Parts: sequence; structure tokens; C-alpha cells
Amino acid sequence: MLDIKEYLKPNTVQSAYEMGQMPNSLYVSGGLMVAQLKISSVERLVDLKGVGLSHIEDHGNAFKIGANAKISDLISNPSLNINGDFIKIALKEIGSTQIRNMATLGGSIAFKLGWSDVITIFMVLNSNLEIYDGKFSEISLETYAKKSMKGAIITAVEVPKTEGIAVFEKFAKSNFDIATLNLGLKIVLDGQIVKDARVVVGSRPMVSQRIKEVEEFLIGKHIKSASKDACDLIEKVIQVGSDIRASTNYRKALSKSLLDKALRRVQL
Amino acid sequence: MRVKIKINDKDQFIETDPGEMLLETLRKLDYKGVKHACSTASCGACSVQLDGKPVLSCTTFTAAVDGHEVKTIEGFSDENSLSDVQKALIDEGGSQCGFCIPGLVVTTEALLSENPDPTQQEVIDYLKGNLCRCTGYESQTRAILKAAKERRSK
Repeated sequence: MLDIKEYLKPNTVQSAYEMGQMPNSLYVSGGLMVAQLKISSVERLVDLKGVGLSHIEDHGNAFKIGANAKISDLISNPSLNINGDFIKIALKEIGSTQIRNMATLGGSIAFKLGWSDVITIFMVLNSNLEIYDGKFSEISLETYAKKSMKGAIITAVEVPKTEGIAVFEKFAKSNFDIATLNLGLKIVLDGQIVKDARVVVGSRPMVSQRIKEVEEFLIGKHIKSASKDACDLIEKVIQVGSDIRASTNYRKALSKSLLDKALRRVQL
Repeated sequence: MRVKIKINDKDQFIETDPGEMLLETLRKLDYKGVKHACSTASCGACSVQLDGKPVLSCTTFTAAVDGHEVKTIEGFSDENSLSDVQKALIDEGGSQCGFCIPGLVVTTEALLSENPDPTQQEVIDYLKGNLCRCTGYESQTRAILKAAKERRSK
């Protein structure tokens, strides 16, 4: 049990934001992360579920997904086809059935956790976030991951429909453990030539990050002949750290191995 | 704070602390089939159905369940008879110490309601959040497929 004084249930984003500005308040959506917090300073939880935001809408050139949509809702939604079945296949790699029924898209991003698979999956798709911090605005997920936005509420995630093949790879010690390293790759091919590439690595153990040197290296090259050098390059340039799960050198070697696997998968 | 939760088809008005977890609330109300184990969303022993979907009661705030429907293991059988899934688990040797079985049955019921004819791989994927340190899962998977087959034939 968390030792808190209040559990508030606002029904608009605006009122939730106002409640969230009170000292020692914390937003809660799916609740999985918040329930495990060991922070004694939190006095008030502001439950965002009452504000709605569980929609999944097709806007023609993009999907707009409400921040309160559950991970399992995204998997079961028949119209949510982005880069084929990429999102569904990748999200099935996350946690267990129970966790996917509880975790929300917004909650999985808001904590900016290093080991988040969700951030890697949505960053590789060049997603944007709709944010409320007194007014609505948009920000790329890539920028959000680097920026401090305390008190802001993620209200939706916009995923552009773009061409290309996307794959997600992760290495974990058991099939629903936190990833030791995860990697997302999206490639646009013109025949065998790479027209565009996006490489994102998470669980470094820091928050997910694009590996732009590898993206730039791949563009304009024949995918088959450039693969080995791209894998050598990621091992050299990636910024990773050590923690209880793995050392820096182990993560560097893993990045090479996961990129190799991903590059082979996009060529199938 | 006061919440209203439908538990096993019965409306209940409950006084709860704002930071209380559903697991604690259910056990206080004597739903002792809901097991208290890891408390870190890792083992699945505390699984209950929330509006028909399996969730982990150890990391679900009771306050968040206000107005919703919860089903525990007690809701899937009565005191005098076991459910078909529970019987199949016993028949196939899928229950040894038995501690994980309530959570496993609750999750299995959700699987069979979503997918009455699962493959072996679908059973394994759906139940990967229900850890069992006794059986090695072979007998449990066999039991679930058997129960599913028997249900379909009825």
C-alpha cells in the first residue's frame, strides 16, 4: 500500500493538470509503475483514466492514439496497421497478458524509463506526442525523451503512416523480463538500396535514443553489402552503460547482434 | 474513501485507503484465493479479472476499480465443486503445491473466453505471466488444452 492522502479522479484534462500542479502530486494512468514506487513524498494521486483518451483514430496520414489506450487495446484493434503488423508483433513482446491489460500507452512513455520497449517501438515510427501543460502542444517523442517536462500530461500519441519495413528486437533474460537491450529498425528500400533508415536503441540502460551515425551510414547503400559494416559501426558509436543486467561491453556486443538480426529480418 | 465494486457478481461498498491495492482489499474481504506473493507485477499469483480481463491485483489501486467488476477464483467455482479447468489441472498433474493455481485458472478463463480453441503456443504466450515453480508448465498446458477441447464439445 502506498501511504498517500488523496486519490483524485478528475474528468477533464484541464482539471487533472490543475490537480497535478499541487505539491507532491503524481499522475496515475494504468497504475503499474506508480503502485511500485517507493517514494514517501507523494501525497496525492491524480487518476487520468476519468478524462477519457482511450481512442484509436485513423486520421488518414496518421493514427492518433489516446494516452489511456491500453497496450492490449492496441494489439487487438483491427484497424491499427502501421508498417504491416509491426506494432502488434512488437507490443506482444512486452510483459505478460496481465501487464498489457493494465499498462497504458501514455503511462509507458511518461516515466521515460530506460528499459521501456514502448518508447523504442514508437520512436522508431517517428511518433509525436500531444501534450497538455496549460495548453495543448505537439512534441516529437524523440525530443520528449530528452527534455524535462514536469507536470505536463501526455494526452495522445500520433503515429505517422509511412512506407518501409519496421522490426523490433530485444534481449532479455527471460521472455517477460525487462530488456537488457532493445532495438527498433525501420528501413525504406528502393530495390536493394536503402532510401531511408531509422535505428533506435533502448535499455542502454538509459532512455531510448536514435543512432544517427548508423542511419546515415545505411542510406544510399546496398542493404546486403552494408549490413556487416553497419553492425560494426553501431558497436563503436553506441552510448551504453553498465548496470545490474549487463556491462557496457556486453551491451555494445548486443547492439551489434540485435542490429544484425534486425537487418536480416527486414530483408526476408 | 468509499468505493463500489462488483465482486463475483455481488455489489460491494467498501471503505478503502487511497493508496490501498486491490489484492489487500480482496483478501480483507476474505477472498483468500487471491494470493499475495511477489507484489512486483512479476508472478501472476494475484491475478483477478477486471471487467473480464486478467490483471494483477497487487499493482491495481482499489480506488481505480470503483464502479468496475472484479472476478476472483472464488467466482469460477462454488465450494462444493471444481470448475472444468481446475479438474483438468488435477487430472493432468498440473497442480503440485497449488499456490499459483488460482491466478492461473483466472487467466485461463480469460483466454478461453477470448479464444475457445487455442493452440499450444497461444496457451504458452497467454499464460507466460503466471509463474509456476513446481510443474514446468507441460502438464498445465496439456490440462488447459484438454479443458478447452471438452468445453468446445459441449
